[in-house]
Amino acid sequence: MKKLQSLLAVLLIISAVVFTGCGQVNLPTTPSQTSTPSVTSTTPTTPTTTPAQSPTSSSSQPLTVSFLNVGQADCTVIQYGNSAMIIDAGGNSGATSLVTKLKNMNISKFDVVVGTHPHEDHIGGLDAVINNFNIGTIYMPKVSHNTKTFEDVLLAIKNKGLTVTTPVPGASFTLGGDVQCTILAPNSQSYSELNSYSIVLKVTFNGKAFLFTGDAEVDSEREMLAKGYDLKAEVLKVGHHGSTSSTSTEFLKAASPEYAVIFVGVNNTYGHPHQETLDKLNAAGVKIYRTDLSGGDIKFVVSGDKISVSVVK
Amino acid sequence: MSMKVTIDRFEGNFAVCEKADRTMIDIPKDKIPVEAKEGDILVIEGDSIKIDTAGTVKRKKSIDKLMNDLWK
Repeated sequence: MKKLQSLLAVLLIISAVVFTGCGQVNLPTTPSQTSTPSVTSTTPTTPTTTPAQSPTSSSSQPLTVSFLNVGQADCTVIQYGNSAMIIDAGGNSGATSLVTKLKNMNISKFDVVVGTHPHEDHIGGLDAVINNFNIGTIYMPKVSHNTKTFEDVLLAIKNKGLTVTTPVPGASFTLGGDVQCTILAPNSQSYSELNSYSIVLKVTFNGKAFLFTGDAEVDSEREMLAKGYDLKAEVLKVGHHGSTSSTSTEFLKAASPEYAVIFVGVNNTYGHPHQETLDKLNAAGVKIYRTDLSGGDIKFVVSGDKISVSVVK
Repeated sequence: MSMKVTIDRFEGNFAVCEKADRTMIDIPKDKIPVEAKEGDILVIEGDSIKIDTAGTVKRKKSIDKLMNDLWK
């Protein structure tokens, strides 16, 4: 009998750990998933934090979304209270200065890290971010690339004892309990080019939405439209540095943003952003912010139901 | 004197390639073999640029092996 009692006690402890060990970041669950990811913590260095208290309909804390000026590369940082998420981490050459900048933003931990796809202008600084900050959940599409840049990221993840979560379209998680994040792409198992594997993420807070598209191209945009996802967003991170390979008329219409942000390097060799994309955005009356022209980081703040934008130099 | 680079991506008329020291160089598409794809390792010798097919296959195997244990 005593044996049975202690066994029951052990079981109770185990279930308590399993049900409370998830912390702030809820792992994705969709009805179609047969095996849900394990909820055991993969980062012994990440302290478990308690979820935000009493979520009300409109949070009093502001949400900040910073589009960092990292040249011809992408890097977005989302902060809410003590929670933070990073979507892409710039190129190889900017890694050291990115780490300094992130530390100056008083960040010590990223609850969520998204590497949209394995190109160097998106994941170049990701190994440095993983090595220098406490890391929660990492989302990257499961597609390989032969560069040392990609291998560096994999090794950083491995050396820290972390794992990567495969993005499942339709799955959601929250940042700090109140910021809703939904994965919208990639919707296919394989594509002819790495850009289309880009994770597309919609982040909604107090009724204001941001759509982060990575380098998703027209093929991926069509899939998101065909799936009937709600693509409406106040702020659109324009796909693939404003190249004509993204931002189809239909996709832009579905998003119908008020603001567009284009990550693009000054006098870049590739002619980004393409005039055709700028014309489309202008015709739709969208306010365009470009990292090459801003001379600083482009910072959005959602406070209550208001959204504001400024350039931080 | 030969140099090996890996094609990271294509942007417009350029193949953006990663050198051994992880710096990036733009090579005009018309200088590389038409069949070259993202992830291919290129061997540059003077004006000649060829795909290192065996090296590319070997590299992919090694990366895929590293990936297998990391994704859930």
